[in-house]
Amino acid sequence: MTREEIVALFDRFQHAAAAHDAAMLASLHADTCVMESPTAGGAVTGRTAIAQVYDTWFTGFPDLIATFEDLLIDGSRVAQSATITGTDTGGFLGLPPTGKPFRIPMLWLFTVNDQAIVRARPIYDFTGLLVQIGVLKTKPV
Amino acid sequence: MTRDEIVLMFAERQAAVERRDVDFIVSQHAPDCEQISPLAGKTVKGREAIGKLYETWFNGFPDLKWSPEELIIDNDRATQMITLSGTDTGGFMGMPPTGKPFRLPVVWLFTLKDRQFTHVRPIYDFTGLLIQVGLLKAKPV
Repeated sequence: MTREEIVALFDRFQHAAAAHDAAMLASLHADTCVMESPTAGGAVTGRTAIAQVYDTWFTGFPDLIATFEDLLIDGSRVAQSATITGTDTGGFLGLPPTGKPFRIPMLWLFTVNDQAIVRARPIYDFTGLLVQIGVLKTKPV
Repeated sequence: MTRDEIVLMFAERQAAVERRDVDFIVSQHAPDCEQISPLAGKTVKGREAIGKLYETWFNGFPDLKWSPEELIIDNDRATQMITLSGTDTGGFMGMPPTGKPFRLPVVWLFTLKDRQFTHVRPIYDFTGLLIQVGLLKAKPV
């Protein structure tokens, strides 16, 4: 893809995220795409599994907002930073809703081919997210 | 800066990390560089404050391994993905050593100007790190 095509792809990605449209987000990935997902506990492959990852977020946090920041493009590799906020009123990861809010920075690393995203890896403070929404409790040892 | 100059800058940074050369590492940062630091729990500014962050890592984990995986460069911005691993034999963040190991992916977002970093943001599972090295205990709520 050209730089302009990649920018357009991630514009669609941002709009789909804003609409909480997991199917549209998944359609931007190749069916062989591998996503390394902390919420899935490891790598998942394919649009169906990837849509489930996005759905976990939209279901758990019905007010989820992804504020996209930097988009870096280097050939076929892309980095997208964002701040993610939301409130656990839907139940995250199948757990009962806690009603607690969270706010975390996230950075996605992507690889694209001629048509779609073929690799996706989000990096963020997953454990800190669980603590913020109150499904995990920590104390100093 | 050209792409080759930025690649060289990151190679020099890696060599400085491996010889634990905090003075060289901070010399690559502008005097008023800001770093958003999970470790400090805030944004720190300036070479001295940034140097202390590196010293915290090097002192806490004398065997710290800093393995670069991916470098994405887009004009004056860069993202570097690394895997950090080490063992808490030195005492992390002023706490007694726990002797426990950790391993986690870290992604860095840099802004560059005039051959120096002007803004730096590492993103990683900081809470998970504290649990791995045994400074925090976690349990489901």
